[in-house]
Amino acid sequence: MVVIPVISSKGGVGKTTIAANLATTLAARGRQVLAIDLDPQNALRFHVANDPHHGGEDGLLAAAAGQLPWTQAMCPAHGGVVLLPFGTVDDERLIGFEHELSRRPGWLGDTLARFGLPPDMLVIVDTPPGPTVYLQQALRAADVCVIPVLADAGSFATLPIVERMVDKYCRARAGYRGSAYVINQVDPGRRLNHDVFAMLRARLQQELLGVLHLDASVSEALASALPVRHYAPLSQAAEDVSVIAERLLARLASPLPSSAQAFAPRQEPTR
Amino acid sequence: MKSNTGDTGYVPREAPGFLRLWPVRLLGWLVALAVLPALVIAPMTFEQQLVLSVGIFAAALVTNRFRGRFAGLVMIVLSVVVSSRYTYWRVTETMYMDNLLDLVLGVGLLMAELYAFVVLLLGYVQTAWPLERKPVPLPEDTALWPTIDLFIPTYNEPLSVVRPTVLAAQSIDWPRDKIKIFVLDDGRREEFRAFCEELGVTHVTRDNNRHAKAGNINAALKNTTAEFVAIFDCDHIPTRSFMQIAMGWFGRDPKLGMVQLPHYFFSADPFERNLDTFGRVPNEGELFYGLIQDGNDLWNATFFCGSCAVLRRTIVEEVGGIAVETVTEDAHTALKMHRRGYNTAYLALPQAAGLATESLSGHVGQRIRWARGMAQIFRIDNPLFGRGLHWAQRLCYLNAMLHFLYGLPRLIYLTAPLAYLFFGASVIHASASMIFAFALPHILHANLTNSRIQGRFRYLLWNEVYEAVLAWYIFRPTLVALINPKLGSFNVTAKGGLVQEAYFDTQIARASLVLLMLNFLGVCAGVWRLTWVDPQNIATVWLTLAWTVYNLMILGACVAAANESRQVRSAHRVALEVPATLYLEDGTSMRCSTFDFSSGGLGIALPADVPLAQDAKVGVALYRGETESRFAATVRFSSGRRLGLRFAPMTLVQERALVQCTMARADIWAARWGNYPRVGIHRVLSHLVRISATGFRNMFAHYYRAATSRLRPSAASSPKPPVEAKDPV
Repeated sequence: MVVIPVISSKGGVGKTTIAANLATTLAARGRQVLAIDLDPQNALRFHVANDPHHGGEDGLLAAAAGQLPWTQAMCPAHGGVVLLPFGTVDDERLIGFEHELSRRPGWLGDTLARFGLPPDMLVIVDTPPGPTVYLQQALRAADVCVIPVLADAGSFATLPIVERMVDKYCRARAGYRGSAYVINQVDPGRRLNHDVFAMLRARLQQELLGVLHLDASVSEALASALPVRHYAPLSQAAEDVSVIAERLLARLASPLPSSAQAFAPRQEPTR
Repeated sequence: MKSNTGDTGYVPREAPGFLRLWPVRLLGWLVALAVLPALVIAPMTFEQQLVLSVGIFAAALVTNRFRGRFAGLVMIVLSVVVSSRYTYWRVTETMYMDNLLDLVLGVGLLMAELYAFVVLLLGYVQTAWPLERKPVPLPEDTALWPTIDLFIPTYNEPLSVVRPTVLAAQSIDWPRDKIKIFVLDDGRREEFRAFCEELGVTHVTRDNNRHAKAGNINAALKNTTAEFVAIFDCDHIPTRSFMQIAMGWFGRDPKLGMVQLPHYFFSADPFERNLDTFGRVPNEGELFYGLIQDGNDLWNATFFCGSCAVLRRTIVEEVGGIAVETVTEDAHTALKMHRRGYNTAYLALPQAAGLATESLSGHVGQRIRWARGMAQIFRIDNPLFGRGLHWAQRLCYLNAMLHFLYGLPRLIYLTAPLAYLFFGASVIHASASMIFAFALPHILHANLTNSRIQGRFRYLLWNEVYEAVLAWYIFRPTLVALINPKLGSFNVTAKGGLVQEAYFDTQIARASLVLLMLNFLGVCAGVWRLTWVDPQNIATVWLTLAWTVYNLMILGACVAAANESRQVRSAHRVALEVPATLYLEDGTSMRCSTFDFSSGGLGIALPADVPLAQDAKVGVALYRGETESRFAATVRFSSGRRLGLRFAPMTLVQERALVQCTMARADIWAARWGNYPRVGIHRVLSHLVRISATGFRNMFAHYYRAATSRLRPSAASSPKPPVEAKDPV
């Protein structure tokens, strides 16, 4: 089991889009994929579920509360992905769940361990933006974090928040494979975008996994409840997602960095 | 080696181990040196000569099956022996002429053959062992890298030709404070000044145009200070890596005065365009940059070619700047460096690309200049004499100069059989069977050996076509320059022009047409002799006829080369296949690839049909490594999966990005260069025959049209060629 949370310090950077597209693309490459929606918005199902109405109520929360077995909370999704939706709930239950999570910091990891998943199964975890209990849970269980950012000033400014979180919960752990940044909605035609993109690239260095171009196909695919690679297979966005998935697999296949290296904060440019 | 598998159907083997032991080799050489002179001069009967020839040729064929340079050297030795034997026989036994006509024509032919023999020998010296020098890495610390002044001389070229060169020069990877770019504008144009100012490069002019390009560079040398001077013709677009590839050797050798890199052309030259051989047959320059310069490098005799080179300032200044005494200032400057004991180097890595000459007449004009310049150097600064050169350098330079004297010998070859066919003149005093037994091995060995050495850079027989086209035009200026090196004027090679309409360049073809007519009459005379006149000399007639028919084939190809095909686009289309992305107006995208590009637009191939209206606005992204550049464009044509785009007006930043993604890409040019498969002789021959037939057809079509339009005077006359071949004499 390899846990891959998709995290961000800022909303609207395309976490759910990337989590969904990554899940279906990895599944298309013959990997077993479990996509977990750990975001109370419960939106991942719109991107990947075969029946987007499934999970409207029942989901992770209900299963966690013991109201139904985990296997019933899960549902089949595009391309063989198994989806565990968050489920829709009222405020009181949500607050109760979050309280429970803050009391048991290792809850996600423990729960996943109890599932007894095959060792090479990929678990993509979608999370809500910003420093939340969900993020802490995801980071504590993470083998590698996928971090979408936009090539804009806001993303650049809030980058340190997520970096601090990753440093705190992940890098100290042996076996953490580092962060994998994805720059989303890249449009080199726009000057600011171009400049920030260049800065991000210089800063992220080898932790940069890839880019996802600004492409209307991505939002159109969402509207059609399809992954990009099904909706517009010849588009640049589909190509981008497939490059990202390939590099992620290559990262997972490469030997683990030594713990000392993993602990060291991001590598500064050595060139 | 992949390139050896061509059509000949075998892969040479590694030489057996015992042959690589030095005592075996030493013994081999000793025996060879003792036996070979005897082999050259021993008189023999026809039968003995035949046996000897077959034996040696069989030995060469066997040797050719082995890989490696040693086998190549053995083949060279065999070829030299056979050709020496032929030449010795020609001089000593075939020159008994009993009348003046035979004597004059016979001596003429002998001179041409001696010339060819000398050039063959010198060519072997020059190309036996190409050095294949590799670049030397620069120090890690860029603070130690030297300063460079980059000169881009221009005279009358349009700004559109110069723009990409300057933009690419600005993108060269070298510390910004250590490289300065100078546009040396001998045309003193306001448009250029404004462009340079906008880009922040220096626009240099002078108040006269003395000594053309050499004078232009010398004037700039006086006003600049960097340790090294790089020179790029205004249409040679450098890649980012140029300096890092070129500069390393200077650090290793303080006496190194110049490093030259090849001139690569991404557009078809007139031969390639008119004969439709671009990318299929190595062009005229390929042999020089692929092999000859590399061979020269072994002997420290690489010469400067005027562009794509870096010079060490102290050494250039010591030899008095760029030479101005001759019209090939570049080669002459290198000669002066060598005379003073300095070194030069050649790196066979294309790191700049440019446009080939536009029309055959322009091409001819350029070669006339080179030929004249080399003849001038031969007269006023002969490399055989004077101080400072070692013997191999003298021979390399000598060959470079003698090469350009091929005009007259080539004309003699193209007409020699006619003397017999028309007048019965016996220019070789020997029986046909003896000529056959001596000359055939000489020709076969020379071709076999040269095709082994040159195979990837020049196909067999093609040099005959290249030379035959030019022979008449360079014969006069070289002769004049040999008599008086001061006569004649300088002509600039025109680039970036248009050939508005396909036309038959009768001006350039005239010499070939006259020769063609003579050879055609020769064939008629031969048939006449065969049937009524010379029944006792039947073999001689057949031999001479075969020679004439061969000449006709070469001349047909020359005529085909003079048939200018259309070149109407205002910007050159260059074939280029790289990945790209098309962005449509609705914000969606599609992965695609380019198939050609020009400074004005791009041709792209799509993976699926996309209905796009004429003038639809799109964006197109090109990549250079990880960097992506996006350009706005409109659709010019859309047919199925192929799309022609015209770029919207660009900022300088975008224009530079476009140059970097297209013309300044070393990876693509390097992959194309010098990678021609070896091709068997029968393939070359059938290709040439087909080209030749096309040439005849075009010629007859042209004269048929001309004749019919003369009958109807109202019809439009044939268009004028845009560039006239200037007669510099």
